Amino acid sequence: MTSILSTADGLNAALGLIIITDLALLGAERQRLSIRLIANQGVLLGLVPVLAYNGTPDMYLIAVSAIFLIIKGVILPLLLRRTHRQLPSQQLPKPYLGYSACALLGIIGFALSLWIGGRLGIAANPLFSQVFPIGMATIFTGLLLIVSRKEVLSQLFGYLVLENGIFLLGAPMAEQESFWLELSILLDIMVAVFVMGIAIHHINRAFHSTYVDHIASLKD
Amino acid sequence: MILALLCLPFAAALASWFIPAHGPRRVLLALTAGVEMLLAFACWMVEPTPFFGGAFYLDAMGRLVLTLTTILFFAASLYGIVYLKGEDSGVRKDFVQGLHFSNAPEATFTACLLLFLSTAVLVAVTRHLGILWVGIESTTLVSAPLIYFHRHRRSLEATWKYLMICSVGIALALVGNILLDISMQSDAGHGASMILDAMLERAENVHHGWFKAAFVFLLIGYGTKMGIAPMHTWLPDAHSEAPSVVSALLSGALLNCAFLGIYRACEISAAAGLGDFSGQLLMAFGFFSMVTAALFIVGQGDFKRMLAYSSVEHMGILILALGAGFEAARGGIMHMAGHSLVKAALFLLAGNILARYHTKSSHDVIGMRRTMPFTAFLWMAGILAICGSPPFSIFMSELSVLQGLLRHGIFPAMAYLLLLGVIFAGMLTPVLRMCAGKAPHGIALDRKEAAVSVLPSACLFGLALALGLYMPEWLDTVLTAAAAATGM
Repeated sequence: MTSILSTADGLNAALGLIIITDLALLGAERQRLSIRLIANQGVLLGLVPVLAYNGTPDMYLIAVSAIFLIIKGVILPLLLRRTHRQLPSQQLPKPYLGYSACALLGIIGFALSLWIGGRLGIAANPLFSQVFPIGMATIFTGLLLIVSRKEVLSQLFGYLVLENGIFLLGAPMAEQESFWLELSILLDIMVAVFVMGIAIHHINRAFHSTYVDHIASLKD
Repeated sequence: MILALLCLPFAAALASWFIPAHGPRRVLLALTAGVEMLLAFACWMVEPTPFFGGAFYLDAMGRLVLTLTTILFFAASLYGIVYLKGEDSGVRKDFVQGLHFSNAPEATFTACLLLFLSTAVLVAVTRHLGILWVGIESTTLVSAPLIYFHRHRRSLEATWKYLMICSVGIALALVGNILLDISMQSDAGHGASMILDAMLERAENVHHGWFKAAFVFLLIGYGTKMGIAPMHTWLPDAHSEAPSVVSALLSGALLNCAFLGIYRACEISAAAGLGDFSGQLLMAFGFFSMVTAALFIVGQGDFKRMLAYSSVEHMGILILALGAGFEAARGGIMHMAGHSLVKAALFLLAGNILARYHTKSSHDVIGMRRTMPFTAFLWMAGILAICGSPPFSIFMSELSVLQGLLRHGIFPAMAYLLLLGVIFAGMLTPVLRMCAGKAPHGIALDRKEAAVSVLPSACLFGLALALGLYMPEWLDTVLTAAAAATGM
């Protein structure tokens, strides 16, 4: 028994799983499934700083990763689930592009991210070049979810996925000095999700619907 | 001093949540705004000590943004006291859709106003790009409940669009920050410091490919928050549906915070020797914003949306100036001051008109000179000022931008003048109609207006006028220093 997975293999596996969750999110028709996928993606993202570390991770890095994992993989999905429960069960409108077309665009986005990463050249920290295509593809997935979905909670999912992509890009920066900054950014995002959750609750109460088409009266 | 500037409004915001009575809470709001403004003035006389390793330090641009923010907030808080007194706390009928609505609790509104001041001050006093991002994102979160003060469907729709579009925009700016860090790394193990001074030192060795990508993300990200076209779609909705006192702060203070983000990116770009790259991008987005604003201002029937599109135009002018070289950049920074003062005053006046006429349609508002003569006079003066008429400061700054553009050839200058002309005509036509004519039936001919409803606007116009007539040496020095930092 000599084949023990190295951290590099672990990182590649995590990055591969993240891209799979991206595509699954683009094709997901049910919101409960989307929340579960976002939670899984959050857990994977929490593991990335440890897996990306070259050597034995110290206690600091493990603690930071644990905090990020709890926020991304547990607290934020719980906030989403809470918001989802407050909404009446309704048939979700089909996205503007259709689920299959969205997943296809996700694959094109991934290819585009690989191409852009290649064009930008190798960064001083090669880890950035490694996570860059997946991070950009996740950002693209988030943007795609926001513009293609016709329901506000699904748009919030898109925002969270977008933030997950950004977190992945920033993961190689996990250093002791920048911890407080990363944490404040994460808390900011948590508050943003909380505030958007409240807004969705109000939208449902005022419009008796959370369809984007129903909240489009402000035009020129 | 910087710590006091940050902590005072934050502490006041927490306190205002727990003060049950409206009177003391309103006094606290005005008092905090006044003290904060005096502290900002003191920063011009006493150099505040930098702290947190230079992350908090007031440079020329930060000082200017800080001073403008506190002046506007003081004017808005005085206006806000009367505004809040006049707001019925019960259920009311929405005059547009005819549905019933109530207001958000006043304590929440006041606390969010003070938190907005705190976060805007944070943006102005930091030279750390990460903290700057946190500050700008926080302004979005604390200003969203302000837009949704009147709890009706339209304000809720505007709040959702504002939250979603600006949060996505700011998220893209965060990508820009990360790419900036990547572009500055010289070895694998260490991230670059995000403090501006350290970044400027390392800028010469920046990786050009990664930096260009970073600049694009920063421009699109902060540009979204600034209302640059085509990312401006949240701005007309939020500005028109928010209470006028909030619209004044959004347009006068919030947009400057986002502009500061782009300005910081330009500082690094110039130090990296990539001023031409960023300059071209800025000029392209600037012109596109002016064209978009011109298209929507001409024939615009909603006077608050007209002011909002005027903000899109002026934000376009700001980044156009930033990209067009030193002379134009100096004019652009002066323009930022003039626009903030005049636009905030105009939004406060728009609140007076709305309160009297119960409509935002410029076709239905007529005879203002008979029904509300002070507001009518200031409204007309303000529109002339915002359109760049002499002797207001905006005329001087637009002239400087024009001089700067002439260095790029006759065509950009001509296009700039043409767009200014179209917008001038587009704004003046409905405003003349609003002021002239007989008062419509059903509008009280009571010519009395509360002094505090017009005085803050009059003072802000007075400042814009004074800046147009006389430029103090100390302010001239600061404007030159701020423009020189962009090194274009």
